[in-house]
Amino acid sequence: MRTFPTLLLCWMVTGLATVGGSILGNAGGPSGVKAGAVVGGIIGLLIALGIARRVSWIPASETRGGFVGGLLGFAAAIAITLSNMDTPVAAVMSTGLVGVGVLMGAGFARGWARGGRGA
Amino acid sequence: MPGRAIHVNLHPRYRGAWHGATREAAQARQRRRERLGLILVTLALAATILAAVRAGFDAGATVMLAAGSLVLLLSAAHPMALWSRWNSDLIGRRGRGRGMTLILLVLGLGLTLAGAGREALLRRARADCTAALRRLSSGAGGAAVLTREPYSGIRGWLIYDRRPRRCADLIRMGDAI
Repeated sequence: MRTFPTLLLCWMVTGLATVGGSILGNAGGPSGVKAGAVVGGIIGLLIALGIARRVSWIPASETRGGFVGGLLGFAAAIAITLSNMDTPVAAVMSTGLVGVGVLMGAGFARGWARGGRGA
Repeated sequence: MPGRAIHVNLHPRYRGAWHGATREAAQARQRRRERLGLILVTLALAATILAAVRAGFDAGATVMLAAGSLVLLLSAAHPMALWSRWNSDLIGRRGRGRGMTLILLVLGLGLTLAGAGREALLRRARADCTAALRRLSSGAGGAAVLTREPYSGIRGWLIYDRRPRRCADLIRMGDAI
């Protein structure tokens, strides 16, 4: 597994998809921006994991765990971004938590897949 | 003879077992270290959140501080090593890159400092609003104008003495005025 490229890929693709989603959701008013950003971010995470799986950066067995971890990281990123809407730096940095979450989730998935070995 | 290296020439039949036992012992040591790391990370994270909550920190600042400390702690290990018992082979075989360590350090430091900065800003805004409230209550003068939602998360905007200040407690201010 290539961890560093996976971290950067998930960070960038999710961030770009979040921005794209919020632009598309802008027509629906302030709540449309937020909903669009959340949906866009989740789709971006799925796309990033799909690419990482396709280029063999993350094993297929760890993709689901990575997705769950990435979702948790994205939830933390949403909380941070919503409380710091006056600066884009917080939004960009907090999206990095998605990549960290994906790696943590993949690690946990690897652990569970080997259930009990060395426990 | 003292100080002289002992060479053990194992029969090929036993070499595999010898290497296997050595490898398993190394992995067990690694697992113990990682288990200790997991406990330390969990304790440090819990302590950060508890301290922030006890000190009355804002929820957003608490999330940023917790996330920042977690990422900072992970920069000393690896995000995939948190589930300590089963990842020893991953850690043993391939070391962390400098890029990963650096990016986690920058991310963790950024989030922690931003969280602390946000809390400091909010505290200052609260102090400003309290001072303005006192000033208005005492009839000392100064024009006060309240508007709605200038910034997300900060519920008010108070202008007095021609200097704009953010106000964190619009309802209390509105009630008082």
